[in-house]
Amino acid sequence: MKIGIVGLGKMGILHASILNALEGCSVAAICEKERLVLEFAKKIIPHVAFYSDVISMVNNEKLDAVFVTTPISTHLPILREIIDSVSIPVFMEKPLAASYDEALMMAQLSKEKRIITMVGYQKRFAPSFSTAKSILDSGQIGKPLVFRAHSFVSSVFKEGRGWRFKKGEGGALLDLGSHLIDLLTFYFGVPDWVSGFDIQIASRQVEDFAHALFGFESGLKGYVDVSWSVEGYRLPETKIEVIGSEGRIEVSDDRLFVSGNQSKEDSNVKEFTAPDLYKGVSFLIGDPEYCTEDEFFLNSIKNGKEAHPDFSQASIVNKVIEGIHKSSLGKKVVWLDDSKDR
Amino acid sequence: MTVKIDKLLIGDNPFNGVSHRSRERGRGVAAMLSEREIVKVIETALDNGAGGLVFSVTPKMLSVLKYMKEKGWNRELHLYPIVPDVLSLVNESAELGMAGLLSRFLEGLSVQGKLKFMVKGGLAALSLSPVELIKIYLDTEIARINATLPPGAETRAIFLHEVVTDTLVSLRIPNILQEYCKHIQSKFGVVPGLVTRNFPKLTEFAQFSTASLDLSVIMTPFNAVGFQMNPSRQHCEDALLKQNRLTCEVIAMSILAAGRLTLEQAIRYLASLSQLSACVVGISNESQAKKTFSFLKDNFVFRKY
Repeated sequence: MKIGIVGLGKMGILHASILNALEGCSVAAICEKERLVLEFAKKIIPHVAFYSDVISMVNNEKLDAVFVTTPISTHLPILREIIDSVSIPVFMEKPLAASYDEALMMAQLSKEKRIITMVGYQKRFAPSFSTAKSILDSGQIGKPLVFRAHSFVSSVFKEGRGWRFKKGEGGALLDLGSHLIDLLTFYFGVPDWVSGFDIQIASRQVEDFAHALFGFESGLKGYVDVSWSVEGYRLPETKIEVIGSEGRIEVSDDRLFVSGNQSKEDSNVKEFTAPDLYKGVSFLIGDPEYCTEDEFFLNSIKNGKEAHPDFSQASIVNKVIEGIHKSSLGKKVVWLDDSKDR
Repeated sequence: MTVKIDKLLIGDNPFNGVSHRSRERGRGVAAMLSEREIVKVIETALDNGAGGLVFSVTPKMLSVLKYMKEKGWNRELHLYPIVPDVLSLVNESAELGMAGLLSRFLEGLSVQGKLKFMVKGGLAALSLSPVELIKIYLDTEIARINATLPPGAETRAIFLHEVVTDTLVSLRIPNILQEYCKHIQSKFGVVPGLVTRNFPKLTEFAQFSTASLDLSVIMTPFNAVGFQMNPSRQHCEDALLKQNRLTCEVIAMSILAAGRLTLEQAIRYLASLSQLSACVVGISNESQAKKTFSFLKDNFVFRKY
């Protein structure tokens, strides 16, 4: 398979490296708008065609798929440029868009073109979080009743530069919390309502901390805390704890703990750490889930099947984040299904 | 070039708050350990058979070296730095973007007088070959280490971080790897090493690459449960068997599989791989240092030279 990469930032390099190492797959073309990066890459990376515009790349190269790893404000225009020229599968780095409206538009456009899409919420494919999904689906802990979750990293302690710190494009929720929110929708579906607040600590335009309560139709309730301004988290840490009618599960990036109810004869307590859950991947750069997610997308294309999260599923993350912002501004519960607003 | 690698090496992950078993645990350990305590752990490890320290060029580890220098450390210590500090670069690129990161790097070099001209926006620097720029970058990284070296310390090998090694392998860029190795040898007179988490891919690449990549030392995971061994434990063991014929030194890392294995279990597995030259283990306190290295010293059978 021949792949095109749009955007040669850290995520572009990461996906290019994984894809080029996979059997039967190669990065055929790279599109980069920044001249300095483009010229530098041209001199270093062999066997790849370089472009500074997406339209030329997709028209000149017979690509099997495109990976877009640019800042989120460019996602919609780049998608338009691609699908106006060719109907090929598109992988978009997370978050899908800056706003729910844009995300919905992207889902709609790709649906009209009937292309396979996927968004880079790779934690779904992490050994711990994907095993937790199977356990939850199996009913091992019964009906989920309550959850609490957090996503923290120590990265923003002064006003930052770049799109991650611009109003409407960045913030801790979109940048960091979107993974956690995607996991929650992966596990439990779309929340009925959200209520929360967000505050600024180091940034002037975007939130550095957010707390939100979620309610689901099933009766499940829980809360999330998200911040990129917490000391002591050199690496990002995402953790979800779910209490069910029959037991409890605790899952983080590198640990999974499951326990049945203590009242039962066999409470079935199990703990797995990263080495217990680890399975070799075709090519490891960063965490193993990046390789698993890329292979999943390529296999979906080969088999003509839908990937996940597709644009439509990933747009829910934008919807939830906007709900939290609205709730924070209006100091009220926000119903995500408009018909239920009261 | 004669390769002189210590057989038992101290890893720095616990000092930097890295625990592959649990991020939560890693945070706790790093928060607890001061420079003084880290130096005590290193001393205990050396007392019990360790010969050197493998470390990433993180602010914390540079501060540990600086502390040793200030305290007049004059004991023999062999250093094996890993460059670059990838986590800092990734964090910076998230803020500045790749173009911003490149510009800042190039502007930094011109301000320091490392480039013959002032660079505005960096484009002018592109008249230089990327290889030259990478050499200049390596020089500045190594100068940062040398500035903090305590009197008794000696750099034995300089390793390229696995993210860089593996990216160069997958994107098939042998000349940069080759130039890296040459430069480390000729300019600094030390052994060039490569860290990888894709050992079979690297050795295959080195073997079939047109640039005839000459590997001296590779550091890569080997443990009984296959943790971090890609694409599988079997593939890595097969590659190790083949590599032995190419006379490359292989240092095993992640030998305890992030605490999943006991020392006895780890050694039982490593004993089956007679091609290994050395191993590196991260330790977070003095009693662990004593127990780990005295056990390894008595039980780890290394490759015969």
